[in-house]
Amino acid sequence: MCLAFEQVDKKILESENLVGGSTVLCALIRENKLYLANAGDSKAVLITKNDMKNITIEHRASNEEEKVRVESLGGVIIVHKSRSLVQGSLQITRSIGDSKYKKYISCEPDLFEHDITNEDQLLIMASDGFWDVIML
Amino acid sequence: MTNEEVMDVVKINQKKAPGLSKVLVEQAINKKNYGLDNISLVVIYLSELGRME
Repeated sequence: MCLAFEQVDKKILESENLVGGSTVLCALIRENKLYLANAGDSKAVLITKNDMKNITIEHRASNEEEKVRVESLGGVIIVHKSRSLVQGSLQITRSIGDSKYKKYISCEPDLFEHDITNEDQLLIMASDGFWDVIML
Repeated sequence: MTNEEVMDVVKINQKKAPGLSKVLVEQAINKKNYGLDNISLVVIYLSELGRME
């Protein structure tokens, strides 16, 4: 999965026609194992019979660990109207593409592994446009 | 929405056609009080996976 992220990122950066970037969240299910790879601020939530829990970690400039990483690469986090932004522009600290900010942001995903049990009902994977409204 | 409210929406609509993903996106759109943002959403029914094998 990490290799796939790298390859897609490279293709976008090499392309003359593709600009901008995107958060990426992938799921791979094999037998009773769920694997997730996440770069950016999309989020996966697991719904069980009686509970729900976030599985992924959002890569936003407001995340302290991500802030430290960006700053260690020479980037600057600027807070504008209560939003933390890389170089004053980008809310996410990991993505594919975004060549303009590539010195400071990464396409490397966080990986998550989960054993699917009979308790597990649903996996909801969605972008920030959804989760920012459906507060969790 | 609180976690409990989201759980209620999920429980009520989990088994209904045309599907939970449509209901969730509609909930998000109805709650927006500012311009539309991109929404990508996928719901995977983990409890159904075994039945497909």
